[in-house]
Amino acid sequence: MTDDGTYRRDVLKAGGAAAALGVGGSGFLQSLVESEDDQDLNASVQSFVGENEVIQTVCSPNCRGKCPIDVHVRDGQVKKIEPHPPEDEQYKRACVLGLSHTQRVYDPTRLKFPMKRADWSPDDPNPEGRGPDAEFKRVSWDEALDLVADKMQSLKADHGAESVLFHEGSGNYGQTGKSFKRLASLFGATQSAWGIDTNVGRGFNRVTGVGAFLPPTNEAEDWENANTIIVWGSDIFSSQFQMDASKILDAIENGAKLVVVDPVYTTTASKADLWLPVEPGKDVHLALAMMHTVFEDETYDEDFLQKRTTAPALIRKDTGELLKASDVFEDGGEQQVVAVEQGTNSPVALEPETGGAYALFGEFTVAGVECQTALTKLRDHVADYAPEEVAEKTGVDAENIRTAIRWLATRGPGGIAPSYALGRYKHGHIFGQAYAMLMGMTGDYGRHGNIHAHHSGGATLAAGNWASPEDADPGPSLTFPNYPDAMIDGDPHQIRAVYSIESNMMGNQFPDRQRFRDAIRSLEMYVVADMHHTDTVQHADIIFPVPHWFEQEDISSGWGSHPHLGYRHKVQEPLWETKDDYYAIQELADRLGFGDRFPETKRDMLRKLAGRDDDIDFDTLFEQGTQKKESVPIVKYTDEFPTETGRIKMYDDDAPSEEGVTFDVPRPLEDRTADDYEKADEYPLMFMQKHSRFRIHSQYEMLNWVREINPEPQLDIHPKDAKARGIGDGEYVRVYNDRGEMVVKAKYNDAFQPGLVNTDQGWWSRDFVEGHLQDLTHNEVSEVGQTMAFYDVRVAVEPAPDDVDTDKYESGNPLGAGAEAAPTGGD
Amino acid sequence: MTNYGLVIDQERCIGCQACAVSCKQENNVPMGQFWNRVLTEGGEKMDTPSGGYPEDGGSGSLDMQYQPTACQHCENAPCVKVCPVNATYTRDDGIVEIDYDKCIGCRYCMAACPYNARVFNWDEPEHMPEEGTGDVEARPQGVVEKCTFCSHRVEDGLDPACVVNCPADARIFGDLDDETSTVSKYINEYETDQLLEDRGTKPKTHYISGEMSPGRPQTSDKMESELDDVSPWSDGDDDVPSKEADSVGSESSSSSHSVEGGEIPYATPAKSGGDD
Amino acid sequence: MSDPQQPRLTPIDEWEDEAEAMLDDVEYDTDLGVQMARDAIRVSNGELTDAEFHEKYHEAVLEEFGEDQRPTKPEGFDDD
Repeated sequence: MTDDGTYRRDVLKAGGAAAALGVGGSGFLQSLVESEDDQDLNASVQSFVGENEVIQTVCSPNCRGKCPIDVHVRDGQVKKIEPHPPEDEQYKRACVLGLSHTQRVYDPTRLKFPMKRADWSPDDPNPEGRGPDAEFKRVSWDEALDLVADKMQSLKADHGAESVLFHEGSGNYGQTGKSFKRLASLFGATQSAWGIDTNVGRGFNRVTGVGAFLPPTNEAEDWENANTIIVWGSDIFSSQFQMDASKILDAIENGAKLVVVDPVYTTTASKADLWLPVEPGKDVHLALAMMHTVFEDETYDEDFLQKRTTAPALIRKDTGELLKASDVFEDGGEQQVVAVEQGTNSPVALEPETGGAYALFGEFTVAGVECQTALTKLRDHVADYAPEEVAEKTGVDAENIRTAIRWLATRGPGGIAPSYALGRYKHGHIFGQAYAMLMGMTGDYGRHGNIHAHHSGGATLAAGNWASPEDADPGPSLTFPNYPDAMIDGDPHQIRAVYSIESNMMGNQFPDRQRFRDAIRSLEMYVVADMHHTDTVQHADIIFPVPHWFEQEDISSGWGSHPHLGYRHKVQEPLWETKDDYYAIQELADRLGFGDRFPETKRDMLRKLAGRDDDIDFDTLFEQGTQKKESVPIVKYTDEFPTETGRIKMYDDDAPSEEGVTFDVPRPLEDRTADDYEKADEYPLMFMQKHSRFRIHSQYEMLNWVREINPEPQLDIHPKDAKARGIGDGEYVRVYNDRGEMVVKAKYNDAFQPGLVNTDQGWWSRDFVEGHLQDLTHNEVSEVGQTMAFYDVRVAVEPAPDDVDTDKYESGNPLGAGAEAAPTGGD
Repeated sequence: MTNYGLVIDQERCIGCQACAVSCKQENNVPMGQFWNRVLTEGGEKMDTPSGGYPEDGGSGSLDMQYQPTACQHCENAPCVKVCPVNATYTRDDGIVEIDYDKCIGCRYCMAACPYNARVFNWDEPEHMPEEGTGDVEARPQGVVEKCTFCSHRVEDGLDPACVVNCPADARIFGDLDDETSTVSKYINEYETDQLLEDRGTKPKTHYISGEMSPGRPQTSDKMESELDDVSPWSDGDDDVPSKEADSVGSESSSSSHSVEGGEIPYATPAKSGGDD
Repeated sequence: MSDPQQPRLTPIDEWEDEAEAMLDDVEYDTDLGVQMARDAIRVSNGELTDAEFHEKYHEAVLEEFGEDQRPTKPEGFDDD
């Protein structure tokens, strides 16, 4: 859909060539290079192929790649990156970011020396000095470490060790974090607990007993066995799975149906057989309509329901609790649930993994108690959610809802691959519960071709209790959403200092940025270790400069990705005065009296940790660069479920509740997406911050090659929404709500549902004309989900004020904020 | 005779830009320029669809596809015909290449190329990092440059960088004159198009659209013709990772606070016993 | 690459403007470049032969560049 329609190839083909050039009738000429017999075949291209030293290592952000790579070095410089096929070659992988490390290793944003904020001292921290105007002076490593250790000791003496928070992000996927936690445990510091992307997994866990972030799913190599793949709320080809894209493409090529449920017409949706353009926050309604369809069609998997779920379990009508074997049989178990045999109606205590002709539906009186089966309860619950009933609310055509779930229910094995995005709505845990049960109905657990999450399980190094040794007395843990209250108000306890590694919490992934800034400005000491001078570093009192991944050896686990561990060999020694986090941890441990608890060298530490994992042999891993963990099962959920009954719970009589809603069965509950949300008129647009292919969280922001393709933050907005506000394509807009604002360029994008706007995440504050996308997000979490709800956010949009300074993107500077670092050449 | 060509399966292409960036890296392409660009067939801007959002809940008319585009290595290349100094020429293996020593920068070839595949070094080319990347020398100011099908790799039996680095296996390189090659088979078996076919340039880049192919069959970075067995995951990579580095001097670290032009510190190769 | 957001193929009806712009600052004859580019595509199309193309521009190329090394030279073409 272009003004002149000229970008489309079919239009090009049909274009005016004939008119402009004429179409001749005679034959075309062959190239006549043969006449130039003195032409040297390779006259002008000087090749260095074969001259590079090639070092195998691993790319290490918290994406789903964990890609083994070959780094080519020549003349003392990293020259290029290529994927290195691991032992199991089908996991050869890399993406636009991992291939671009030449742009990161030498970037001017890299930290070079330990530094101290110029106006900070342990006794007079000048907290207001933290932020954009802070100035730093170079100090020695010893001075920096002494300052930190002394302050930690004095805080421990005066306020207890828990007044120090050890905060760990996910920016460096190695084993160092375990030693960081080990030091925290020995010292007694407060430790960080995850509060991001834990929503969907929590809901799934209530049903299956499994799942923390997203639940385990079959390894990627098995996905091509799927006959139906429902990708739900995930642009799987742009983020999380793009390096394994070939696995899904192979499934499609083999005839699988790809369904995409997403309010956005994503790259993934563009490949789908069926796209369901759901409205934000209506996913549970949609899942319930799918359940309704399965009941209506009677396409549920009876054998599976009888053998592996509590579908036949009886619910007491008097209490709403499940009837227990101890209520029926003298020697019956108190956790054991009861079903009745079809025909005889005689009660049977249900064993895990045991099928039988149990009645799935009906009302029965057993031991004098009136009961109904769990599946009856569920069927009655979803009776109100016929596809026609939810079509308007969800924005999805009723017949398309039916088609999608019919494919999953009737075409053989398949699955649902939900994303973390669903958990970025406040009550996202309910979706986790809903789809776990829906897949129970279709029997899609424990089979080849089943999918339960949009990234696979992968391999993790089993390091035992290294992070929390037996003799330690660890401090409390604090989940991310509770940081501001703890730092500002001392609730639940006062945090006075933070030591942060692998995290750009001020720059990304922490919502309500101004309040987090206030929280950080309440601290007496803020120690930040990083590779780059991020927004977070700019708020630090003490800066520990960390080397690029290629300058630190480590063991990378393939968690969430592929079944190998990788040895991250050093490609080069650390540049400048950068030092591995393990060095700082060990030196601090020395100063705090725990020096003997940490192996002398990082390699010793890695060897020790690897020694705790029976699947791994350190020397093999070191030599090969990767080692496949043979114990990682390709197909998940083949054993008894770790629930009280050993079965999938199709009814939860011990369910949590929030805001007056109990989750015995999945019940929709919405926050800001609700039709009657009180400020919906004031802030009419939902605001999401999609993961793009161009950054991993806030990492790789500085890649100037990528910035030539994707130069600045933008607001994806449907043209209708833009025009209604007098906003032209490419004009700058002010996006605001009652927490803050940002100014970015509007991008007309018909892929976005009217009423929904987006700015891709990962930009630093230097990239925004004004503000930051996290100035708009909030830190309210649901009681049950305890997960930051980044997408459950409303904004208003208007043209940017005339006096806004957009110079950095408009003065002939195609690279925007990165331009100082990267002058452009050519035209 | 060898006649190299490329098949790009647009059904597989996910627009991830890995080919665009790895091309730039491999070929030391200057800042501000790409030899290989991933065009969006759809809306006006990158990653936007054509059509309208379905307001009736149906699947609507939105449509989007990616079209990676570089030099098409035309059999009937107009750029070759206009070059007054014969700097742009077609090699015996079908690759259209530029002799940068001969190029006088008249840019007639750029005007003649219907694919916008060529870029011109107006100024002294700049690179990030300044010393450049990849496995070929930088080109000087005042010449035209473009995709070479990674001829420097091909001569060593390696597939072009964009082909090896595609995570969707959407790019297949090989000999169009060899009937048994995967590129030839795919061109026969699948519906393929060439860009701007009506201009008679006979591009050697063929696009699959409609039915998806199984993609590039080998995992190895080697060309198909170098492998005995072209079944998936056949191993052609016998490179052993180098753990031992030559000792290359240790006075290395710059004391500068920032990396200014030319001040990228010379990195000390990692020591095998290395710990900090 | 005028728009980093969406590099593009040149649509045929804009081609001539773009070709002229491309050759605008060149120290060689812009008109000749545009004409030769157009005719080179006519050669590809089969509307002109290589020989016709070569002969048509031989003198102009010689005058402009002092040489004519184009590979379109027909057998026995007299190029003095």
